[in-house]
This record gives sequence, structure tokens and C-alpha cells, in this order.
Amino acid sequence: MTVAAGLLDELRAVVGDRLTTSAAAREQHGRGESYLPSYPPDAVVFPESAAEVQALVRACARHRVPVVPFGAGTSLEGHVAAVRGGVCLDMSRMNRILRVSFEDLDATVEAGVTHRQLNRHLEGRGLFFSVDPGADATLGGMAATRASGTTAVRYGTMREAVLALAVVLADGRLIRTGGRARKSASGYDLTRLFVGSEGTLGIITEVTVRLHGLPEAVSVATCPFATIEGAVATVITAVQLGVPVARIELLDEVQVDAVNRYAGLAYPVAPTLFFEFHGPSEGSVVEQAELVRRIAAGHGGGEFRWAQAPEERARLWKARHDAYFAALALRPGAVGVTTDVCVPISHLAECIVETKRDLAGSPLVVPLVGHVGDGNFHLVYVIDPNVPAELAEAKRLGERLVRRALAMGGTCTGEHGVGLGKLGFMAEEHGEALEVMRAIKRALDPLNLMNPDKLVPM
Amino acid sequence: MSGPPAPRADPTPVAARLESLLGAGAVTTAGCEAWATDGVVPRAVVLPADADQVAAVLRVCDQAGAAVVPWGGGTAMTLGYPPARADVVLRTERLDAIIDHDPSNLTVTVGAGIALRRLQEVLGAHGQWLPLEPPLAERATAGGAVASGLGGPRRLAYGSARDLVIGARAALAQGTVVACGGKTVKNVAGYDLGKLVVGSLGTLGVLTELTFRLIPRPESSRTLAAWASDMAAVAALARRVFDSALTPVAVVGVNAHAAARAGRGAAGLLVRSEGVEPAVRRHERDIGAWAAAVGMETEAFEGEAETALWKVVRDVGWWEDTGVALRASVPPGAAADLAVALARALPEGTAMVVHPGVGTLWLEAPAADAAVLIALLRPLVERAAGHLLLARAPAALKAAHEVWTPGPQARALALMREVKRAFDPRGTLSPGRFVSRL
Repeated sequence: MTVAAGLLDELRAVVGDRLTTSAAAREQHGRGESYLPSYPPDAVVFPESAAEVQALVRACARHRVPVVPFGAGTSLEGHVAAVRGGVCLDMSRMNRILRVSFEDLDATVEAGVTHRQLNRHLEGRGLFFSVDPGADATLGGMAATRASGTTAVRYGTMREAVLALAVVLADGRLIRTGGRARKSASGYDLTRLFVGSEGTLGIITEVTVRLHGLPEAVSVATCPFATIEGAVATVITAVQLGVPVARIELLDEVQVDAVNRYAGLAYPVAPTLFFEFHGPSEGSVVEQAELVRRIAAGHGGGEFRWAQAPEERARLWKARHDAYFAALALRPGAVGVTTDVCVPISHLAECIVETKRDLAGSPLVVPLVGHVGDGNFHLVYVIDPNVPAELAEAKRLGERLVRRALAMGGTCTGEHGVGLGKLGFMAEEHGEALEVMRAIKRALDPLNLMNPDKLVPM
Repeated sequence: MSGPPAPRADPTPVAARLESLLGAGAVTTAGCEAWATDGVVPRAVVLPADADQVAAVLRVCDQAGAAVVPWGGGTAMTLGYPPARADVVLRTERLDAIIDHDPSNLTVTVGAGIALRRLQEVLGAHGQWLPLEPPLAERATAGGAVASGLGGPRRLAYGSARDLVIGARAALAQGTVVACGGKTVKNVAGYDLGKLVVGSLGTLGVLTELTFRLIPRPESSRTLAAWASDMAAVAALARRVFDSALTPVAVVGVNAHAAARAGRGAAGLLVRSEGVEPAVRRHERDIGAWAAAVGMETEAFEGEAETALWKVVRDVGWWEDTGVALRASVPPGAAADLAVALARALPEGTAMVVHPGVGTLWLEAPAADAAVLIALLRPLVERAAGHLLLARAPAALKAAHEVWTPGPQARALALMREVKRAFDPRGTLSPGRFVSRL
């Protein structure tokens, strides 16, 4: 599909020269950070206000041309792919922080503000925004994909973090959902309907999020385990006892090895838990950590390594955050095919162990990292992009993983979203509920122009 | 109203069909006055045994154009507008199974009709609990608590029903049963239908099954009350608590009239802390010192006395059948100031409870004071970017006053109509009861 010249003129009338049809820009905007090929849009526009977004969406609707929103382009499941062509709305120029309230612990930002930008803005003022998916994603994109990250176990995901939204609908109307009162405004919870809707119901232009007070005391520790089961049992027991851990991350031995090589570290090559403790005082943090140390010792845990000073903690977490690049470095020239599933934590050890058994029978190198406090884990299949058999193998293993997770009462994705990559599992996971989702999609977007062919197979 | 107008029901054949569906004992057509919603008396009351029967009841009623009102423990039936029609009351009492308690996953899946009290007993035996404490929790059901979306004092720490429900099954008006979410805390696959159902007063579907996140019972729990002569001192102390590094699970201000229900005679701030003993002690020590510094008297509550105190606080708004209850929701930072402003102006005999960390105020007064209270509250709440819910009132008052103010913006309302239509195209479920009489 190509965009009619008439539409381009109409778009230019709205954004002037903030429009491009260059091959490079289109190619870059048709893909996230995943292995999926680029599906370039026909044009990329850079709106600077909700009013411009409204005008752009209206013009596209008149011409029956799809609209695909684009934040920072960090998606892993092809959310930004313009599978039917159309116009990409790059939201990065809507990057103003509109309001921060220290009394109400909330902030309102334009959709193109990234979480690091917001946290830099809050620096030194005792507050922080808690959701950190790793990549420096925009808050609009994070809301649209219901993003989460390493601190979800303590502070929740975008589902809990978003208080209100401004959204441009398929017909160009702008609506505001929710409000600054924590009790959501009158009526059905439209805010949560848009959170996680992957751009299929409208374009998020403004996000109001909850902030948290910075903890007085923070400490970080790592602990290697003889077995995955021991690591997971430690997490379960700690959570059972109500230890308020802020992050609990698992790296399997393949990933630890990759991190060691990548960053010149010398962690024992074994399944390893990374913990972060937040508390109102040094004493409370020490007490939490000591309790967890004792639990770990009872489950085959090795020596705890501590980091208290901010720079030490940052170094330690960098090892975790660089996991993806460390995995890729295992095999120069390789690309990473990532996938994530989420299962009840009571099935987590079983699911991981079965998955690793599956992987052991495969020639691929596949490191594993997990937000184990949430039952959520990720795999990176490190493949040679020039060998189709390797991608096919990664997909085969990925499908088996999803089926395993669904059979254990889990979900086909805890974090990355459906996008294109997991569209095929929606009917299997949702059954009749998919019909309701379709009815909602049809009602809000009758022409099927808002990021078509994503999330809800029509 | 959404969807094509349903024909006015002829209840006799519907009741007969329901009886052949569920068995004679599960359908009552006598004494239906006891199951009236805001004075709207149903023609039949049904007690389906499982989700399939709930779906079958809905299918029959939807086809016959009979309106259905779901009914759990009946504690929150005063919420919303009087339904436009209520032909059949569907009681969920028999959907009371504990389907799957997974202690190591900290989740439980239950039939929506289970009494919260019984659920808490079972969970308690495993050292866990569901931090959902709606008003009148002793008589409420899990499904009713979720459908009403009413929270309790410890929402500050544990979130509301919206945060605690991670999975749900609901029977929709046309007789399908849909599932959303599941046993995982995270889920990004698809629209978050479960969150639409929370607080929807049974206007989108009849909840049949719910999965909740649980929390471990804390090692220790105590409450420190600091009593004062006026609400300004209470608000100032609350601010001191929120500016500190303390992490209490409930912080609530009460006026003297609310405190009187607990046998106390002054306004006060109640701060509950839970967790490991040293943390609880630290809360008591710090808050005790701050209170003493401004001349407030303190009193510690523990065990049964603590439970009784919080029960009083939880139920403000729901004490008397004859009164009115209002809930104001404002940004958290505005709640304490609003309480101070109101304390000077409230009609004598109005009980007030403020949750400053959450931004909620509950007020209860004799029905005679309703008009004065509403006129006083509405502008103050709207100026604070909040909204007001007339949570409980005689039907005559609801005819004169909007239940939700401000109502949704016209564009948002149009979307809500679409949502209602996607779930319930013929307007079978509690028609007219929800926001803007959806």
C-alpha cells in the first residue's frame, strides 16, 4: 500500500517539514529491537502536540490509511511494524514533563518522555518513577504495552503505575481517562483498557503516573545456587515470609557465564539470584537481607556478595541489565530472538527446569534471566541470522515454551506483549474472551486503522 | 441505554423456564420484596449452582428481555441508581467453592459467591490473607466486593480490589463465560478485561470466579491512635507521617463523631503498622514522639481491640439503614486539607473518616442533612479535581441528586456505552444502575 500524495499534503499541512518518507527513516520506524524484519510505514511524522496527533489521525481516517504509534522503538514483538503500511507517528518530540506533584506523588508527562528522562528530572527530590523495563522506553510506549521490569515485585507494573491518560481515538477525538484521584473517576475503568492496548484503540498522548518515595536505605546482594530449584525455593520462601524485597532476579549459569565474559567479572558459573532490598532504615534492610541469607543457605545457596555503596550497586545491576548484550557477545555476528512467559511462581522451578531440559537437546545457546518474584522469565535464543534453520529452531522452542507455560496456568507473555510475535496464541489463551476484545476493538476502531493486526487478531 | 431496546418481560414464562433449568428449589417467586434494589422488586430470585447455570440463566433472561440484577452478600446494593428494571435477582451464594488455593504462589481462586469471612478463615489457617476489607466485610462476598470496588483502610499498603484481582471468570448477558487474567501477577496478553469488571456493579457480567493475590499474615500488627481537639492537628500529624520514611499500612483521620462509635470523644489519627516487630516498634516510637511534641494524647491498640477499632472505621458510611453516605475521592495531597475545611462546616452529627494517603473521605449523616452535605461537598471536591459518590441514600434522594459527580466527560461516556454494548448488547444486566444510568 502506498500513501496517496493527497494524504501527504494533508499531513504536511499539520506538521510542516516534520514528515519524512526517506527509506532509512521508514526502515528504522518499521521495527523495534527484535529479530523481526522491518515493516516500513509509508511515511513517518513527528507530532509535537495532541492537537497535531488529532489532525493526523483524522487525515489518515479520511484516507483509510493505518496509523502506527512509535515511542522509542524498543519493542521486542513487532508492535511498531507497519504490516499494512500507513503512517507512523513518532512521539519522541512530545517530550515535555508537564507537572510533578510532591504532595500527591504523581507526575503528568507527554507520551514521548522516557522513564530515564523523568527520573533525571526527579533526581535530588526524594521521589522516583519505579517502572524500568531496561531499555529507555517512552512512557507512552510503556503504557501502551503495560510494561514492567525488575522492580515489579515491589512496586507493580504500568498497570498499577498509570493513573490517567489522554488518548486520541480512531476518529480523532481526544479523551481523558482516570484522574489524579487514586480512586478512578466515575464509570468503567477506561484507563486500564488503554494500558496494554498496544496502540490498537488509540494514540496515547499524555500519561499521569504514580511516583514513589526513594527508600532511605538500599542494599544489593548476589548469591549463587547449586540448582535452579534451590534458587526458586528461596524466592518463594522469602515472599511467603513477607520479606519486602524490591527486586529478585535470576540468571542461569549460561547467562552468568555470558556476563562474566562480557564484563570481565568472576561470578561463580551457577544459577544466581540478584537481590535488592529497600527499607526505611539501614537496620530494616540488614534484617531483611539476613533473613533471606538464612533462607538461601537452607536451599543450597552459596556465599552472599554485598554491595551497599551506590556505585557498587550500579556496577552489580549493570551486569544484570547488560544480560542481553552479554548473550549476543557469546557469538559475534549473532542476533537475539527473545521471548518471555509468566507462570504461577509455584510452577516456576518446574517450568524453568523443563525448559532447560528442552534447550539441552538443542544446538542453540540460550541464556535465561527471570524476574522470579513475579514468575516471569526470559530466554534469548542467540542465532545466526543467515541460517534459517536456527530461527526455525528458536521458534519451535519458543512455541513449546508458551504451550508449557499455558499448561501450567501461565500466560504467553508477562512483559514483552503480543504485538505480531504472539498473535497466534491469543485464541488459545483467551477463548471466548477474545470475542469481547474483538467487539471492543470494532466499536472503538470500526475501520481497523489503529495499529492493525496487532494484539487482537480480527 | 445501550443496544436495541429489550421488550418488556413477561415474567411468568421466564420464571417457569428458569425453574425447569435450575430445579424448583432454586427459583423463588414469593417474598421477592426482600430482594429489592432501591425499592425495585424482582419477580423471581434464582440461586444457580455453578457458572454454567449462571450463564444459562442469563441466556434465558437475555432472550426474554428480562433484566437481571446480580446479588452477592447484599451489603452494597445501595450503590448506583435504582435499576430501570430488575426482573430477576441472581444470587451467587452457591458459587462458594475454594477452587484452588496455591499457598506458594500466594494466590487463591474462589467462586465469586464465597463469603469473605469464610475465605479469610481458610487462608488464615495457612498464615495468609486477602487484604480486601470492604464495608460490612462480615457479610460481604468476594464477588460483591470486586463488583462494588469498595476498598478498606489498608488499601494504602495493599491496593484496592483492582490491584488484588489477577484473574476472573464472568458470565456475560448472552450466556457465554469468559475468562480473563489468571494466576500470574503479570500478564500483557490482550485487553485488560478484568479491570473493566472491577467496580462495574454487575453491569458488564456476573462474576463467577475470581483469582486474588494474597499476602502473608504479618508477624506483628499494632495501631497507635493520637487524639486531638481538632482536625487540623490530625492533618498535621498525618503529613508528618507521610513525610517520614515510615511505611504504615493504614493512616486514617476520624472526627469526634466517628470516634464516638469506638467509644472515644475526640478527633484522632489512627496509624496501623504491620510487619516484623522492630519495624512496628519503630512506627510506635516515632509517631508517639511526634504526637507528644504537639500535645496529642496517644493510645495503643492491639489484638481484638485493634480489630474492633478498624471495623468501626471501615464501616463509616454503612452503619445505619436510614442515613446517607458520601465518598469523596481527591488527589492524595488534597485529602487532609479537605478534611480540615469540612470539619468546620459539617452539620452536627456527621461522621467523617479521611484516608489522606489514598485521597478518600467517607461521610455519614442522617438523611435529613443530605442536601446540605451534598451542597457543601460538591464544589470543594470538584475544586480539588476529585469526584463525589452518593454511596447510600434513600431512593427519593437519588431521584433528586446525581449519584456520581462529576459524571464522565461526554467522550469518555460514549466509549463506556460502547464497552457496555460489547459485553451486554441488550442491556440485560442491572440496566440503568451504573454511571450515567448505563
